[in-house]
Amino acid sequence: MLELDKVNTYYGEYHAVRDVSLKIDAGGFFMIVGPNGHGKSTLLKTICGLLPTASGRVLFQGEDITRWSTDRIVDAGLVYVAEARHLFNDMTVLQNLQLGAFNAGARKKMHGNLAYVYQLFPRLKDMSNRVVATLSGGEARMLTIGRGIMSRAKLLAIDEPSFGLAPNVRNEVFQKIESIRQDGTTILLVEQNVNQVLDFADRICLIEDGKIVFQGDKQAALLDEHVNQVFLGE
Amino acid sequence: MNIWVQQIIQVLISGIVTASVYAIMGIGLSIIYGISRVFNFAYGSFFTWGAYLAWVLFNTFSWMTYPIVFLIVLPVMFALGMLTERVVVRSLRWRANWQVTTMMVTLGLAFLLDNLALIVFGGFAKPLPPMFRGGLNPFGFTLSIQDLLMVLIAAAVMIVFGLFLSRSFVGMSMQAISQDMTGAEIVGIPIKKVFSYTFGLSTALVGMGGILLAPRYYISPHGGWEPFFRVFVIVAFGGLGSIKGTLYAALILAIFEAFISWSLGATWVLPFWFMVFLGVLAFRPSGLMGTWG
Repeated sequence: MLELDKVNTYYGEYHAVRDVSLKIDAGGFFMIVGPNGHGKSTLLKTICGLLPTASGRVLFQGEDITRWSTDRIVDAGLVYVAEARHLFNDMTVLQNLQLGAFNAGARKKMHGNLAYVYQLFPRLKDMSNRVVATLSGGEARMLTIGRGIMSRAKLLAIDEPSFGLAPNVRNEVFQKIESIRQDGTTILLVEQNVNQVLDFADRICLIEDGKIVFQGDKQAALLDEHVNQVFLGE
Repeated sequence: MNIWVQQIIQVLISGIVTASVYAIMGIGLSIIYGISRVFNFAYGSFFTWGAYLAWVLFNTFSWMTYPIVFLIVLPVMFALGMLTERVVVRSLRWRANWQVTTMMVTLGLAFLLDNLALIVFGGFAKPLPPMFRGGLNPFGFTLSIQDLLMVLIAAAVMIVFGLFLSRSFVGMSMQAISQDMTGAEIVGIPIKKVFSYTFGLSTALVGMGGILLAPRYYISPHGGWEPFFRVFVIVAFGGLGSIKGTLYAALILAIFEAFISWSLGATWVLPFWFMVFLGVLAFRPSGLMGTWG
Protein backbone atom coordinates (compact mmCIF):
# COMPACT_ATOMS: atom_id res chain seq x y z
CA MET A 1 0.00 0.00 0.00
CA LEU A 2 2.80 2.39 0.95
CA GLU A 3 6.34 1.98 -0.22
CA LEU A 4 9.40 4.08 0.55
CA ASP A 5 12.50 3.85 -1.56
CA LYS A 6 15.69 5.36 -0.12
CA VAL A 7 13.96 8.44 1.26
CA ASN A 8 16.12 11.29 2.60
CA THR A 9 14.92 14.39 4.40
CA TYR A 10 16.71 17.38 5.83
CA TYR A 11 15.40 19.42 8.70
CA GLY A 12 17.12 22.69 7.93
CA GLU A 13 20.77 21.64 7.72
CA TYR A 14 20.23 18.47 9.68
CA HIS A 15 20.05 15.19 7.78
CA ALA A 16 17.11 13.75 9.71
CA VAL A 17 16.00 10.81 7.57
CA ARG A 18 18.67 8.72 5.86
CA ASP A 19 17.98 6.25 3.05
CA VAL A 20 14.81 4.86 4.57
CA SER A 21 13.16 2.09 2.57
CA LEU A 22 10.13 0.21 3.79
CA LYS A 23 6.93 -1.40 2.64
CA ILE A 24 3.57 -1.33 4.38
CA ASP A 25 0.88 -3.82 3.43
CA ALA A 26 -2.78 -2.91 3.21
CA GLY A 27 -4.72 -3.69 6.38
CA GLY A 28 -1.60 -3.94 8.48
CA PHE A 29 -0.46 -2.31 11.70
CA PHE A 30 3.01 -1.01 11.06
CA MET A 31 4.95 0.51 13.91
CA ILE A 32 8.02 2.71 13.73
CA VAL A 33 9.86 2.90 17.02
CA GLY A 34 12.99 4.68 18.10
CA PRO A 35 14.35 7.10 20.65
CA ASN A 36 13.19 10.69 20.76
CA GLY A 37 14.66 13.00 18.16
CA HIS A 38 15.87 10.28 15.82
CA GLY A 39 13.76 11.20 12.81
CA LYS A 40 10.55 9.21 13.31
CA SER A 41 8.19 12.19 13.18
CA THR A 42 10.20 13.75 10.39
CA LEU A 43 9.74 10.57 8.40
CA LEU A 44 5.96 10.66 8.87
CA LYS A 45 5.78 14.32 7.91
CA THR A 46 7.85 13.59 4.82
CA ILE A 47 5.54 10.78 3.76
CA CYS A 48 2.50 13.03 4.17
CA GLY A 49 4.01 15.90 2.20
CA LEU A 50 4.41 18.26 5.14
CA LEU A 51 8.18 18.26 4.65
CA PRO A 52 9.91 18.11 1.27
CA THR A 53 11.66 14.87 0.32
CA ALA A 54 15.29 15.58 -0.55
CA SER A 55 15.76 12.35 -2.49
CA GLY A 56 14.12 8.96 -2.90
CA ARG A 57 10.56 8.00 -3.74
CA VAL A 58 7.30 7.55 -1.86
CA LEU A 59 4.69 5.32 -3.52
CA PHE A 60 1.12 5.16 -2.27
CA GLN A 61 -1.17 2.59 -3.88
CA GLY A 62 1.25 2.33 -6.75
CA GLU A 63 1.39 6.06 -7.44
CA ASP A 64 4.48 8.20 -6.96
CA ILE A 65 3.37 10.82 -4.43
CA THR A 66 6.85 12.14 -3.59
CA ARG A 67 6.22 15.63 -4.99
CA TRP A 68 2.49 15.84 -4.25
CA SER A 69 1.10 18.58 -2.05
CA THR A 70 -0.43 17.53 1.26
CA ASP A 71 -4.00 18.26 0.17
CA ARG A 72 -3.58 15.92 -2.80
CA ILE A 73 -2.07 13.23 -0.59
CA VAL A 74 -4.93 13.57 1.89
CA ASP A 75 -7.42 13.30 -0.95
CA ALA A 76 -5.73 10.06 -2.02
CA GLY A 77 -6.36 8.66 1.48
CA LEU A 78 -3.03 9.02 3.26
CA VAL A 79 -3.74 11.08 6.36
CA TYR A 80 -1.40 12.36 9.05
CA VAL A 81 -2.48 12.53 12.69
CA ALA A 82 -0.18 14.88 14.54
CA GLU A 83 1.40 14.32 17.92
CA ALA A 84 0.94 17.95 18.92
CA ARG A 85 -2.76 18.70 18.76
CA HIS A 86 -2.89 20.93 15.69
CA LEU A 87 -6.62 21.22 16.23
CA PHE A 88 -8.65 24.35 15.55
CA ASN A 89 -8.92 25.53 19.11
CA ASP A 90 -11.57 28.24 18.75
CA MET A 91 -13.94 25.99 16.87
CA THR A 92 -16.26 23.27 18.13
CA VAL A 93 -15.59 19.55 18.07
CA LEU A 94 -18.10 19.16 15.25
CA GLN A 95 -16.51 21.92 13.15
CA ASN A 96 -13.11 20.28 13.56
CA LEU A 97 -14.55 16.99 12.37
CA GLN A 98 -16.25 18.71 9.44
CA LEU A 99 -12.98 20.32 8.43
CA GLY A 100 -11.43 16.86 8.45
CA ALA A 101 -13.75 16.14 5.56
CA PHE A 102 -12.45 19.10 3.57
CA ASN A 103 -11.35 17.25 0.45
CA ALA A 104 -14.01 16.64 -2.18
CA GLY A 105 -14.08 12.86 -1.84
CA ALA A 106 -14.44 12.99 1.93
CA ARG A 107 -17.12 15.66 1.81
CA LYS A 108 -19.48 13.30 -0.01
CA LYS A 109 -18.92 10.66 2.67
CA MET A 110 -19.16 13.14 5.55
CA HIS A 111 -22.36 11.87 7.17
CA GLY A 112 -21.35 8.23 7.13
CA ASN A 113 -17.88 8.96 8.45
CA LEU A 114 -19.25 11.24 11.16
CA ALA A 115 -21.57 8.48 12.33
CA TYR A 116 -18.61 6.10 12.40
CA VAL A 117 -16.45 8.52 14.40
CA TYR A 118 -19.27 9.09 16.91
CA GLN A 119 -19.81 5.37 17.26
CA LEU A 120 -16.09 4.85 17.83
CA PHE A 121 -15.76 7.80 20.24
CA PRO A 122 -19.17 8.33 21.87
CA ARG A 123 -17.63 11.04 24.05
CA LEU A 124 -17.00 13.20 20.99
CA LYS A 125 -20.67 13.00 20.14
CA ASP A 126 -21.61 14.27 23.61
CA MET A 127 -19.14 17.11 23.26
CA SER A 128 -19.84 18.00 19.64
CA ASN A 129 -20.69 21.61 20.47
CA ARG A 130 -17.83 22.16 22.92
CA VAL A 131 -15.04 24.50 21.96
CA VAL A 132 -11.88 22.50 21.41
CA ALA A 133 -9.72 24.66 23.66
CA THR A 134 -11.61 23.19 26.64
CA LEU A 135 -10.89 19.52 25.85
CA SER A 136 -8.60 17.36 27.96
CA GLY A 137 -5.47 15.79 26.47
CA GLY A 138 -7.15 12.43 25.95
CA GLU A 139 -10.26 13.94 24.39
CA ALA A 140 -8.14 16.04 22.07
CA ARG A 141 -6.20 12.95 21.00
CA MET A 142 -9.46 11.16 20.20
CA LEU A 143 -10.52 14.19 18.19
CA THR A 144 -7.29 14.29 16.15
CA ILE A 145 -7.81 10.62 15.28
CA GLY A 146 -11.50 11.20 14.53
CA ARG A 147 -10.61 14.13 12.32
CA GLY A 148 -8.18 11.88 10.45
CA ILE A 149 -10.94 9.32 9.85
CA MET A 150 -13.18 12.10 8.53
CA SER A 151 -10.65 12.66 5.73
CA ARG A 152 -11.69 9.24 4.41
CA ALA A 153 -8.31 7.80 5.34
CA LYS A 154 -7.15 4.54 3.84
CA LEU A 155 -3.92 4.80 5.76
CA LEU A 156 -3.67 6.71 9.02
CA ALA A 157 -0.16 7.85 9.86
CA ILE A 158 -0.36 8.48 13.59
CA ASP A 159 2.41 10.34 15.36
CA GLU A 160 2.98 9.25 19.00
CA PRO A 161 -0.61 8.77 20.09
CA SER A 162 0.46 8.08 23.65
CA PHE A 163 2.42 11.32 24.01
CA GLY A 164 1.51 13.11 27.24
CA LEU A 165 -1.34 10.78 28.19
CA ALA A 166 -1.95 8.86 31.41
CA PRO A 167 -1.37 5.09 31.09
CA ASN A 168 -5.05 4.12 31.26
CA VAL A 169 -5.98 6.70 28.61
CA ARG A 170 -3.12 5.47 26.43
CA ASN A 171 -4.51 1.99 26.54
CA GLU A 172 -7.92 3.22 25.48
CA VAL A 173 -6.41 5.14 22.58
CA PHE A 174 -4.50 2.08 21.37
CA GLN A 175 -7.63 -0.08 21.62
CA LYS A 176 -9.47 2.42 19.45
CA ILE A 177 -6.68 2.48 16.90
CA GLU A 178 -6.73 -1.31 16.74
CA SER A 179 -10.47 -1.31 16.14
CA ILE A 180 -10.02 1.25 13.35
CA ARG A 181 -7.55 -1.17 11.79
CA GLN A 182 -9.99 -4.03 12.13
CA ASP A 183 -12.55 -1.93 10.28
CA GLY A 184 -10.19 -1.80 7.33
CA THR A 185 -7.90 1.22 7.70
CA THR A 186 -4.19 0.56 7.49
CA ILE A 187 -2.24 1.94 10.43
CA LEU A 188 1.24 3.40 10.44
CA LEU A 189 2.21 4.40 13.92
CA VAL A 190 5.21 6.13 15.40
CA GLU A 191 5.94 5.46 19.06
CA GLN A 192 8.60 5.90 21.64
CA ASN A 193 6.80 3.78 24.11
CA VAL A 194 7.02 0.24 22.80
CA ASN A 195 5.71 -2.04 25.49
CA GLN A 196 2.08 -1.08 25.17
CA VAL A 197 1.85 -1.22 21.41
CA LEU A 198 3.80 -4.36 20.78
CA ASP A 199 0.65 -6.45 21.15
CA PHE A 200 -1.05 -4.70 18.26
CA ALA A 201 1.71 -4.18 15.75
CA ASP A 202 2.31 -6.80 13.12
CA ARG A 203 5.47 -5.22 11.75
CA ILE A 204 8.05 -3.21 13.59
CA CYS A 205 10.83 -1.02 12.41
CA LEU A 206 13.45 0.56 14.63
CA ILE A 207 14.95 3.90 13.61
CA GLU A 208 18.11 5.35 15.04
CA ASP A 209 19.85 8.45 13.76
CA GLY A 210 17.41 8.58 10.87
CA LYS A 211 18.37 5.11 9.66
CA ILE A 212 16.47 1.85 9.86
CA VAL A 213 18.44 -0.49 12.08
CA PHE A 214 15.85 -3.25 12.36
CA GLN A 215 12.78 -4.28 10.45
CA GLY A 216 10.64 -7.36 10.95
CA ASP A 217 7.56 -8.87 12.56
CA LYS A 218 6.79 -8.99 16.26
CA GLN A 219 8.47 -12.37 16.90
CA ALA A 220 11.64 -11.26 15.18
CA ALA A 221 11.61 -8.03 17.18
CA LEU A 222 11.30 -9.93 20.44
CA LEU A 223 14.26 -12.08 19.46
CA ASP A 224 16.43 -9.27 18.16
CA GLU A 225 19.21 -8.43 20.56
CA HIS A 226 19.46 -4.77 19.65
CA VAL A 227 15.71 -4.12 19.88
CA ASN A 228 15.69 -5.75 23.27
CA GLN A 229 18.61 -3.68 24.38
CA VAL A 230 16.98 -0.43 23.35
CA PHE A 231 13.44 -1.05 24.50
CA LEU A 232 13.04 -3.91 26.82
CA GLY A 233 16.00 -2.99 28.94
CA GLU A 234 17.70 -6.36 28.59
CA MET B 1 -34.10 71.14 18.79
CA ASN B 2 -31.10 72.55 20.58
CA ILE B 3 -28.44 73.52 18.05
CA TRP B 4 -25.72 71.70 20.01
CA VAL B 5 -27.61 68.46 20.19
CA GLN B 6 -28.31 68.72 16.52
CA GLN B 7 -24.66 69.27 15.68
CA ILE B 8 -23.54 66.44 17.89
CA ILE B 9 -25.96 64.07 16.21
CA GLN B 10 -24.69 65.26 12.85
CA VAL B 11 -21.10 64.55 13.86
CA LEU B 12 -22.11 61.17 15.23
CA ILE B 13 -23.73 60.27 11.92
CA SER B 14 -20.69 61.32 9.96
CA GLY B 15 -18.53 59.17 12.26
CA ILE B 16 -20.73 56.14 11.82
CA VAL B 17 -20.68 56.52 8.04
CA THR B 18 -16.88 56.57 7.81
CA ALA B 19 -16.69 53.83 10.45
CA SER B 20 -18.74 51.48 8.32
CA VAL B 21 -16.37 51.86 5.38
CA TYR B 22 -13.28 51.63 7.59
CA ALA B 23 -14.70 48.47 9.08
CA ILE B 24 -14.92 46.59 5.78
CA MET B 25 -11.45 47.80 4.85
CA GLY B 26 -10.23 46.73 8.27
CA ILE B 27 -11.62 43.25 7.79
CA GLY B 28 -9.75 43.04 4.49
CA LEU B 29 -6.45 44.05 6.10
CA SER B 30 -7.06 41.78 9.04
CA ILE B 31 -7.76 38.60 7.05
CA ILE B 32 -4.72 39.08 4.88
CA TYR B 33 -2.53 39.13 7.98
CA GLY B 34 -4.46 36.61 10.06
CA ILE B 35 -4.75 34.03 7.31
CA SER B 36 -1.91 34.49 4.88
CA ARG B 37 0.49 36.00 7.50
CA VAL B 38 1.45 38.83 5.17
CA PHE B 39 1.43 42.49 5.98
CA ASN B 40 0.41 44.13 2.73
CA PHE B 41 1.86 47.62 2.35
CA ALA B 42 0.20 48.04 -1.04
CA TYR B 43 -3.23 47.97 0.64
CA GLY B 44 -3.68 51.74 0.30
CA SER B 45 -2.67 51.65 -3.35
CA PHE B 46 -5.37 49.11 -4.08
CA PHE B 47 -7.80 51.48 -2.34
CA THR B 48 -6.78 54.18 -4.81
CA TRP B 49 -6.85 51.88 -7.81
CA GLY B 50 -10.33 50.65 -7.00
CA ALA B 51 -11.53 54.23 -7.09
CA TYR B 52 -9.58 55.01 -10.29
CA LEU B 53 -11.08 52.02 -12.05
CA ALA B 54 -14.54 53.28 -11.10
CA TRP B 55 -13.57 56.73 -12.40
CA VAL B 56 -12.46 55.24 -15.72
CA LEU B 57 -15.77 53.42 -16.07
CA PHE B 58 -17.79 56.54 -15.28
CA ASN B 59 -15.80 58.58 -17.77
CA THR B 60 -15.88 56.02 -20.56
CA PHE B 61 -19.57 55.14 -20.44
CA SER B 62 -22.01 57.93 -19.85
CA TRP B 63 -24.71 55.47 -18.77
CA MET B 64 -22.55 53.96 -16.04
CA THR B 65 -24.17 53.37 -12.65
CA TYR B 66 -22.76 52.31 -9.28
CA PRO B 67 -24.17 48.77 -9.23
CA ILE B 68 -22.47 48.05 -12.56
CA VAL B 69 -19.26 49.68 -11.35
CA PHE B 70 -19.20 47.34 -8.35
CA LEU B 71 -20.00 44.35 -10.54
CA ILE B 72 -17.03 45.13 -12.77
CA VAL B 73 -14.44 46.60 -10.41
CA LEU B 74 -14.76 44.15 -7.51
CA PRO B 75 -13.98 41.04 -9.59
CA VAL B 76 -11.09 42.92 -11.23
CA MET B 77 -9.74 43.84 -7.78
CA PHE B 78 -10.19 40.25 -6.66
CA ALA B 79 -8.15 39.04 -9.63
CA LEU B 80 -5.53 41.72 -9.02
CA GLY B 81 -5.19 40.56 -5.42
CA MET B 82 -4.80 36.94 -6.45
CA LEU B 83 -2.23 37.95 -9.04
CA THR B 84 -0.28 39.88 -6.40
CA GLU B 85 -0.22 36.83 -4.16
CA ARG B 86 0.94 34.58 -6.99
CA VAL B 87 3.61 36.87 -8.37
CA VAL B 88 4.85 38.77 -5.35
CA VAL B 89 4.21 36.71 -2.23
CA ARG B 90 4.22 33.05 -3.18
CA SER B 91 7.82 32.86 -4.30
CA LEU B 92 9.01 34.52 -1.09
CA ARG B 93 6.89 32.55 1.37
CA TRP B 94 8.69 30.38 3.93
CA ARG B 95 12.15 31.65 3.02
CA ALA B 96 14.31 33.09 5.77
CA ASN B 97 12.79 36.37 7.05
CA TRP B 98 10.09 36.15 4.42
CA GLN B 99 7.63 38.23 6.41
CA VAL B 100 9.93 41.24 6.48
CA THR B 101 10.88 40.65 2.86
CA THR B 102 7.26 40.58 1.71
CA MET B 103 6.60 43.77 3.66
CA MET B 104 9.41 45.46 1.76
CA VAL B 105 8.30 44.02 -1.55
CA THR B 106 4.68 45.09 -1.05
CA LEU B 107 5.99 48.53 -0.11
CA GLY B 108 7.79 48.57 -3.44
CA LEU B 109 4.60 47.47 -5.13
CA ALA B 110 2.79 50.37 -3.46
CA PHE B 111 5.26 52.87 -4.93
CA LEU B 112 4.94 51.21 -8.29
CA LEU B 113 1.13 51.34 -8.26
CA ASP B 114 1.01 54.91 -6.93
CA ASN B 115 3.39 56.21 -9.53
CA LEU B 116 1.68 54.27 -12.25
CA ALA B 117 -1.51 56.06 -11.21
CA LEU B 118 0.37 59.37 -11.32
CA ILE B 119 1.57 58.67 -14.87
CA VAL B 120 -1.78 57.39 -16.12
CA PHE B 121 -4.17 59.78 -14.40
CA GLY B 122 -1.97 62.75 -13.56
CA GLY B 123 -1.62 64.57 -10.29
CA PHE B 124 -4.98 66.31 -10.33
CA ALA B 125 -7.50 64.87 -7.94
CA LYS B 126 -10.46 63.20 -9.59
CA PRO B 127 -14.03 63.17 -8.34
CA LEU B 128 -16.59 60.37 -8.53
CA PRO B 129 -20.23 61.30 -9.03
CA PRO B 130 -22.42 61.10 -5.93
CA MET B 131 -24.03 57.73 -5.42
CA PHE B 132 -27.37 59.28 -4.70
CA ARG B 133 -28.59 62.84 -4.52
CA GLY B 134 -30.98 64.15 -1.98
CA GLY B 135 -31.51 63.53 1.67
CA LEU B 136 -33.89 62.98 4.50
CA ASN B 137 -34.70 65.39 7.29
CA PRO B 138 -35.84 63.36 10.24
CA PHE B 139 -36.20 65.41 13.48
CA GLY B 140 -34.56 68.44 11.94
CA PHE B 141 -31.11 67.08 11.12
CA THR B 142 -30.03 66.09 7.63
CA LEU B 143 -29.21 62.60 6.58
CA SER B 144 -28.06 62.23 2.99
CA ILE B 145 -29.28 59.13 1.23
CA GLN B 146 -25.73 58.54 0.02
CA ASP B 147 -24.51 58.23 3.62
CA LEU B 148 -27.36 55.93 4.44
CA LEU B 149 -26.50 53.77 1.42
CA MET B 150 -22.85 53.59 2.47
CA VAL B 151 -23.78 52.30 5.90
CA LEU B 152 -26.27 49.82 4.46
CA ILE B 153 -23.82 48.50 1.86
CA ALA B 154 -21.04 48.16 4.42
CA ALA B 155 -23.36 46.44 6.89
CA ALA B 156 -24.54 44.03 4.19
CA VAL B 157 -20.93 43.24 3.24
CA MET B 158 -20.05 42.53 6.86
CA ILE B 159 -23.05 40.28 7.42
CA VAL B 160 -22.43 38.33 4.23
CA PHE B 161 -18.74 38.04 5.08
CA GLY B 162 -19.52 36.81 8.59
CA LEU B 163 -21.84 34.14 7.21
CA PHE B 164 -19.26 33.20 4.60
CA LEU B 165 -16.62 32.69 7.31
CA SER B 166 -18.79 30.62 9.61
CA ARG B 167 -20.96 28.67 7.17
CA SER B 168 -19.07 27.99 3.95
CA PHE B 169 -16.31 25.41 3.65
CA VAL B 170 -13.91 27.98 2.17
CA GLY B 171 -14.69 30.42 4.97
CA MET B 172 -14.20 27.72 7.57
CA SER B 173 -10.92 26.75 5.96
CA MET B 174 -9.79 30.38 6.27
CA GLN B 175 -10.57 30.32 9.98
CA ALA B 176 -8.80 27.00 10.27
CA ILE B 177 -5.63 28.40 8.69
CA SER B 178 -5.69 31.38 11.00
CA GLN B 179 -6.01 29.12 14.04
CA ASP B 180 -3.49 26.43 13.13
CA MET B 181 -1.80 26.47 9.76
CA THR B 182 -0.22 23.03 10.13
CA GLY B 183 -3.55 21.63 11.27
CA ALA B 184 -5.14 23.08 8.15
CA GLU B 185 -2.50 21.43 5.98
CA ILE B 186 -3.02 18.12 7.77
CA VAL B 187 -6.74 18.02 7.02
CA GLY B 188 -5.95 18.64 3.38
CA ILE B 189 -6.86 22.30 2.99
CA PRO B 190 -4.98 23.57 -0.08
CA ILE B 191 -3.46 26.43 1.86
CA LYS B 192 -1.76 28.07 -1.12
CA LYS B 193 -5.09 28.36 -2.91
CA VAL B 194 -6.73 29.78 0.20
CA PHE B 195 -3.91 32.34 0.50
CA SER B 196 -4.72 33.50 -3.04
CA TYR B 197 -8.43 33.73 -2.34
CA THR B 198 -7.69 35.67 0.83
CA PHE B 199 -5.57 38.16 -1.09
CA GLY B 200 -8.29 38.47 -3.70
CA LEU B 201 -11.00 39.00 -1.12
CA SER B 202 -8.94 41.50 0.82
CA THR B 203 -8.15 43.50 -2.30
CA ALA B 204 -11.80 43.49 -3.36
CA LEU B 205 -12.80 44.77 0.09
CA VAL B 206 -10.34 47.66 0.02
CA GLY B 207 -11.27 48.47 -3.58
CA MET B 208 -14.86 48.65 -2.44
CA GLY B 209 -13.80 51.02 0.33
CA GLY B 210 -12.06 53.17 -2.28
CA ILE B 211 -15.18 53.42 -4.38
CA LEU B 212 -17.44 54.10 -1.40
CA LEU B 213 -15.27 56.90 -0.05
CA ALA B 214 -14.42 58.49 -3.40
CA PRO B 215 -17.66 60.47 -3.78
CA ARG B 216 -16.92 62.14 -0.42
CA TYR B 217 -13.21 62.70 -0.94
CA TYR B 218 -11.26 63.05 -4.16
CA ILE B 219 -9.10 60.37 -5.75
CA SER B 220 -5.40 61.14 -6.02
CA PRO B 221 -2.36 58.95 -6.74
CA HIS B 222 -1.13 58.93 -3.15
CA GLY B 223 -4.53 59.30 -1.55
CA GLY B 224 -4.60 55.71 -0.32
CA TRP B 225 -1.99 56.15 2.39
CA GLU B 226 -4.09 58.09 4.87
CA PRO B 227 -7.06 55.72 4.86
CA PHE B 228 -4.62 52.81 4.93
CA PHE B 229 -2.95 54.22 8.02
CA ARG B 230 -6.30 54.71 9.75
CA VAL B 231 -7.43 51.22 8.90
CA PHE B 232 -4.13 49.86 10.17
CA VAL B 233 -4.64 51.63 13.50
CA ILE B 234 -8.20 50.33 13.65
CA VAL B 235 -7.06 46.77 13.07
CA ALA B 236 -4.28 47.09 15.65
CA PHE B 237 -6.72 48.63 18.13
CA GLY B 238 -9.39 46.00 17.54
CA GLY B 239 -6.98 43.10 17.61
CA LEU B 240 -5.57 41.58 14.43
CA GLY B 241 -7.85 38.91 13.13
CA SER B 242 -10.84 39.71 15.29
CA ILE B 243 -13.73 40.81 13.10
CA LYS B 244 -15.81 41.98 16.02
CA GLY B 245 -12.82 43.87 17.38
CA THR B 246 -12.32 45.56 14.01
CA LEU B 247 -15.95 46.60 13.89
CA TYR B 248 -15.92 48.08 17.41
CA ALA B 249 -12.58 49.78 16.83
CA ALA B 250 -13.82 51.31 13.59
CA LEU B 251 -16.90 52.68 15.32
CA ILE B 252 -15.04 54.05 18.34
CA LEU B 253 -12.19 55.63 16.40
CA ALA B 254 -14.19 57.01 13.49
CA ILE B 255 -16.68 58.67 15.85
CA PHE B 256 -13.78 60.11 17.87
CA GLU B 257 -12.25 61.32 14.64
CA ALA B 258 -15.48 63.05 13.65
CA PHE B 259 -15.70 64.78 17.02
CA ILE B 260 -12.08 65.91 16.94
CA SER B 261 -12.44 67.24 13.44
CA TRP B 262 -15.56 69.13 14.53
CA SER B 263 -14.27 70.48 17.83
CA LEU B 264 -10.51 70.98 17.31
CA GLY B 265 -10.32 71.10 13.53
CA ALA B 266 -9.21 68.71 10.80
CA THR B 267 -5.50 69.32 11.45
CA TRP B 268 -5.78 67.37 14.70
CA VAL B 269 -7.18 64.28 13.07
CA LEU B 270 -3.91 62.64 12.03
CA PRO B 271 -2.12 63.37 15.32
CA PHE B 272 -5.10 61.75 17.00
CA TRP B 273 -4.63 58.54 14.98
CA PHE B 274 -0.91 58.52 15.76
CA MET B 275 -1.61 58.87 19.46
CA VAL B 276 -4.09 56.02 19.39
CA PHE B 277 -1.55 53.90 17.57
CA LEU B 278 1.18 54.63 20.12
CA GLY B 279 -1.29 54.00 22.92
CA VAL B 280 -2.21 50.61 21.52
CA LEU B 281 1.42 49.62 21.12
CA ALA B 282 2.25 50.77 24.63
CA PHE B 283 -0.70 49.44 26.59
CA ARG B 284 -2.43 46.71 24.67
CA PRO B 285 -0.40 45.40 21.73
CA SER B 286 -2.81 42.49 21.24
CA GLY B 287 -5.67 44.92 20.74
CA LEU B 288 -9.15 45.19 22.15
CA MET B 289 -10.10 41.60 21.43
CA GLY B 290 -6.78 40.37 20.09
CA THR B 291 -6.79 36.69 19.31
CA TRP B 292 -4.81 35.74 16.29
CA GLY B 293 -1.63 37.71 16.91
